[in-house]
Formats: sequence, structure tokens, C-alpha cells
Amino acid sequence: MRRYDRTAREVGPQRADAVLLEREKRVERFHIRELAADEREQFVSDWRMVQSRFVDDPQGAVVEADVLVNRLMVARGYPMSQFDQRAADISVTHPRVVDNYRAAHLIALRHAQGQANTEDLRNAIIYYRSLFDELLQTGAPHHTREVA
Amino acid sequence: MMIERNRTTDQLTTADFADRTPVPEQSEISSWQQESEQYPRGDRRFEELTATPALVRDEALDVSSSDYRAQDKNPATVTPLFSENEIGDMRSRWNNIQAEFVDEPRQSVQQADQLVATAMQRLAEGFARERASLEQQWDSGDSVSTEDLRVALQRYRAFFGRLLNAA
Repeated sequence: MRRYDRTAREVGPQRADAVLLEREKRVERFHIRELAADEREQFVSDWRMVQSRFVDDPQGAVVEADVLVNRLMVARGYPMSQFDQRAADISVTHPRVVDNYRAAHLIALRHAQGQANTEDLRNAIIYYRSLFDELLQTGAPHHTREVA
Repeated sequence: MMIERNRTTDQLTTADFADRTPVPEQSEISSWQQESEQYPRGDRRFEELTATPALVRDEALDVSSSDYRAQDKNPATVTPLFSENEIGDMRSRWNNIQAEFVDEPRQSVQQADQLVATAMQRLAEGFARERASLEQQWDSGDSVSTEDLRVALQRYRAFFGRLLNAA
């Protein structure tokens, strides 16, 4: 329902259903694949580096987190695209965390305008990770934090 | 993961470490002074000590050098402050603490303090052991060789230099 609400807000209630259907059809054409064990290990280790970097360079860590999520999406078979399209794709396959992804992106944008503090950036990392973990399909995902 | 862990009394913190640092008693200080009086200027052994080529003049307390061991002409005489195992263990604990900052900033800082306190304690224990061993030799009437003292002083200097040099 939340997906519908958001979409209805964006494109109007008349077109919402059509837009959602269109998104699903688009995603059905992707060749989503599982990661090999060593690929997954590399991503886990790269993510850990991002988290460690936060202590020295919070902004750089957020930028890297975004890049790493993109890389993981491409590795899983999502096409390269702009953020809005990526979020739309994710809303089909991982509806539970797409709001977190949007929230993280928003914080990164706000930070670029000098409107995000360190705590905001820390939350951005955690939001990115909720999607990252789902894309990794680890057995025990981190606790995800819902964005209001 | 825990939101916030209450500090329990058995966890070491740097504050505890500072509180627990014993102030040397006057008798200990004078005992060290007495020992040093065994090597007055002009004494042959004193000359041996200062004439030893390693480090004494050129690099004495050169706290700008980033790595004492690298500059030591005779590296075998300077024992590392920590064993390889200890270093590996503490590095890996630090890496975990830093990586977990994003999830639990406050807990991460508390754990960093504990780790630093642990490292300080281990260092202090190492030096205390070394000093105790020297004192034992003095008490039992064995003569402590100038070479032993030279090495001991080098270790203190390496430690001191790193403290001043710490980034």
C-alpha cells in the first residue's frame, strides 16, 4: 500500500496503478542473479571498509556507501541508471527497504548543501546498509530502521 | 546488538588506570638514586656507556624520528614494546571498534577507551617486570651489567619517544 501511496503522490492516483505495473514489467526483464561466495565476501569486506572510514571521513564514507550499493546492484544484474530509476527498480524487488534507500540519498543531497550533520550521515550509512544487506541476501540481515 | 551497555566496575578505563597508577615511594626513588651513584662521571663503566656507538649521541631523544627501531644501529638490543600476538590482537580489536562506530557510537568510544587502557596497562606491566628483574639482580648482589642497563634505558627511551611522538 505504501508503494501505491507514494506513487499516487508522485504521478497522481489515476496513473499510479499503470506506473507500478510498468515498473514491474521493466524489472521482469532484468537478469537478476545470485552472487558467488567470493563476490559476496568481497562486498562484505568492502562494506566494512566503508564503515571504518566513517570515523575519519563521514562524508566520504556516505559517498562510498552509495557507490558500493550501485556496484552491488549492477553485480546483481540491475541496469545502470539514475537514482530515481534505481529507486523505482528497488521498490519492486525490495519494497521493504526502498524508503531507507531514498532517505539515505536525501541525506547525501542535503549534506551537499551543508544541511546534514554527522549524526545524519551516520544514519545514511545505516539506511544504505539495509538495502545493501538485502541485495547481498545474507541469512541474518541487520536490523533495518524504517523511515517515517 | 545492545543499545547501550552500562559500564561495569570490572571494565578497565583510562580513568581507572590513572587512578591506579601508584606514586613511587620515597624509598624507591632514593634506591634508584643510590644505584645511579655507583656510576659517577669518570667511572670507566660510565664512559663505556656513553661511548657505546648505538644511538647515544646522535639520536638521543630524537623524538622527531618516526620509528626508533628503524634507526637503531643495533636493532637486536631493543625489544618491541608488544609481542606480535599482542599487536595483532589489539589491532584487530581496534578495527572492530572502529567499524562498529556507525552502529553504536557511544559504545564504540567506551570500548576504545578500554582498549587504550588495556594497552597502557600492558605496557606498564612490561616495564614494571623489567624493573623488578633489574632490582632483583641488585638485591641478590649480582652485578647488573652496564649492557643490561643500556638496553633498559633504550627501552625507556623508545617508549618515551613514542609517547611524545604519538600522532
